[in-house]
Amino acid sequence: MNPPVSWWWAAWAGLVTVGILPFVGQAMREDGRLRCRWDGREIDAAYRVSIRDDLGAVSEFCDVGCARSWMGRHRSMSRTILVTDEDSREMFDANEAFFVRSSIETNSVTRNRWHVFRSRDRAEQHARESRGRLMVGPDHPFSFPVEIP
Amino acid sequence: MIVNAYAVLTAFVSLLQFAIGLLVITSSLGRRRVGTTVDVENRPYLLLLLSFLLLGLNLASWPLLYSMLQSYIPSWPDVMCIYGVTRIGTGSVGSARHLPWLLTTVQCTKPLLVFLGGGWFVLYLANRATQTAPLLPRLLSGLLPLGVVSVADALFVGTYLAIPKQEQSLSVGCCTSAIADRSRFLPESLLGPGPHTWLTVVLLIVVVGLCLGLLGAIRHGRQHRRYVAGLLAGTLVAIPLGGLFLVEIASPTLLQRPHHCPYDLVTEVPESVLAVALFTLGCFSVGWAAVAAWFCRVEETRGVLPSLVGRFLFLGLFGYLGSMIMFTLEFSLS
Repeated sequence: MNPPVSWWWAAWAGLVTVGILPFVGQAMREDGRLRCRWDGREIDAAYRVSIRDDLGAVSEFCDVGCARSWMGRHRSMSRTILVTDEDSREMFDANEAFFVRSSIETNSVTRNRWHVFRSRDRAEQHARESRGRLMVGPDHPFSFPVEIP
Repeated sequence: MIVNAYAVLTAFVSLLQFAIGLLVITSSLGRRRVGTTVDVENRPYLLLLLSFLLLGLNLASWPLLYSMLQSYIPSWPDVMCIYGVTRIGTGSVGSARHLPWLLTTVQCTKPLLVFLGGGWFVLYLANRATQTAPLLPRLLSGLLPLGVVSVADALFVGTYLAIPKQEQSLSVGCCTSAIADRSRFLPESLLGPGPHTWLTVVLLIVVVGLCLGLLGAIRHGRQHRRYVAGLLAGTLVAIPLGGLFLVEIASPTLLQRPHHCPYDLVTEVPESVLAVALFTLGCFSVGWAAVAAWFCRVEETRGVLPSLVGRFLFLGLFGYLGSMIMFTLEFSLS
């Protein structure tokens, strides 16, 4: 059975249509909003974490928990980690940051309880007020090896 | 029990599926043998109408299930996508422990129903093209598996809807509860870490081979049973490979995340759902062509059968090609 010519034309038209759809979808998704590399959620500027690897590729995350989860699967790379100070919303090196794990969740979906501060005083104050603990030494969130939380 | 618009709609459709499925089963079991032309003309109209309604309901219930699961996501703070909803109840000791296997079963019965319905429709088309309806007994017998699976599917969905979605765990301390383990909501790789390039290569070889086989069948009229059986065998290989490819390669690449969750594609890369649907159409169409080649072959259908089989093979070729084009473009753009 050789199908009529009209079938082939209809099939070509259909294939061209489905071929256009990926371009349309891609164009519609380019909305410029930063999304987390781990869970795809929109990033809140107050808890943003940015990781730059050796090759210069930058991965953005919505919080420390997501960044730790992602690093748990990419252990071999060396990288530069930037975190956001909750008070000023400025990004700075994670080595200079003070991390507190407290009872306050920053996100109801990810249930992140990591809080980042540039100043030690402010971190200790948050830990006192929110039944938290300053995480230093082996408790530092980016001390290796990182385990998935 | 979570009650929202999608749950109510799903419950209603399941109720209709159950009722019509039962009617179809009883009519199919309790019928007298169709012998005379008068029997053929008088008896099956209502049954066929009910069957068409059941086909439509079964088809509609498939996307409806996923819409309902999507609507359940905000019900739990840890759950981020449909995968998380499918994991609710894991490790629970209450009635919620039945939720995961019920959902897994329903996710298998939905495509099975669509395939069975399509196969039945192929029989109907072949029978309609004849003068004396010689395929009517087979057509009526074919309603029995369709009705049974429809009723079972409706029961599973109904049970899933009715079970309270409250997880109960044995008390094992405030911080070590198994239920509180968030990692169970993260879809893991089925094949372990690694790029799994072989999977893409093997799937590509199988699908290209199928496309060439289908093209040969369509253009050169190779539609005898053995050739169609070869195409069906290729399709049976392509189905698990396609599923693995979706989880292992397509989801992480298209989502640009380490997650192996095909459910995320529904909301984040919606056009890729069409690519999956086209692949499913390709697989099902080859199956339906095989149904036509095997079960519709009687003296009266000798003239119409090549055209009927050819139509479904053509549809299969379109499905496979469309899916391959879409995935290739999606991959190159992401």
